[in-house]
Amino acid sequence: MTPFDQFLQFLVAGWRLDVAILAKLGVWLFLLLYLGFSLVVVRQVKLMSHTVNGFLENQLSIMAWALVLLAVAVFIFSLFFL
Amino acid sequence: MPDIFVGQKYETVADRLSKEKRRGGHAFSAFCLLPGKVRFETQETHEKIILLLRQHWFTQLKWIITAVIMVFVPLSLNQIPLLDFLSDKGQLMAIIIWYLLVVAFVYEQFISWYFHVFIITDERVIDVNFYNLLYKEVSEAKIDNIEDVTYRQGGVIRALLNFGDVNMQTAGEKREFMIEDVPLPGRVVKILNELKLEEEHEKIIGRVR
Repeated sequence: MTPFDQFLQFLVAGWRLDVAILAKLGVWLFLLLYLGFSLVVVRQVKLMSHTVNGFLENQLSIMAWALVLLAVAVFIFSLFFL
Repeated sequence: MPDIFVGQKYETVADRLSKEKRRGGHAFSAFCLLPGKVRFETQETHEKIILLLRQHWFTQLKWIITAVIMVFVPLSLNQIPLLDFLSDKGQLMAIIIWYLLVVAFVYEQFISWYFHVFIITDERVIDVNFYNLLYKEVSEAKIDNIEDVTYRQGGVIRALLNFGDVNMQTAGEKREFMIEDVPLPGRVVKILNELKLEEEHEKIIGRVR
């Protein structure tokens, strides 16, 4: 057994880390990042609409907030589902 | 007093264009002539927008096709079992994450196209560019400073769909000013030349703003 294998063994056996738990944490981290991204989108759409406006600002703003809602909904869903 | 002493009404390019048939008044249009509702950040009170241009829809096909393919990728999982090592819950979560990425991709590409506009007013040309969600560039050239306007339209698709690049040489700090992949580049050049003449005429009669 190589030292790296021993280290992995130590992580899994000693700290009782499970691959499934790591995967869940990965998914939650991704969804949190996605939520952050969707908030950046809301802010950017606001800034872009401030720079040029006239046609679709309200619709784009609603879509940006819908993206935030989607991100929140999927995050909550994943908390119960996973 | 006889009418011979009354000067002929001065007709601006905007006045003349307003009599023509309007083209592209809808939100997704890439060539909006005199878009009444549109305003931009640094617009002055008397400044009129003559043209609002976006990149031709054909240039956006690449990401649209990519998005369509991305939508159908999870359906191919029935044929190619890539996610079989995951549990049922894991597979569902992976598909949800995939579609979240698709939504983000489509939205980002769409607003990058939608807000990347070229505005030609009766005073200047403005290029508003959002390279991605975090980077914005606004460059402008005054009509007075435009020295030379040319357009380039190479290739079968560009000739068929009538779109191309408009290139301007300016006397300002930014020497080159390029409007890429816009519809009807010949018409854009014609309008720019008319605006240039109008500016020169305004200088002569002392109507400079």
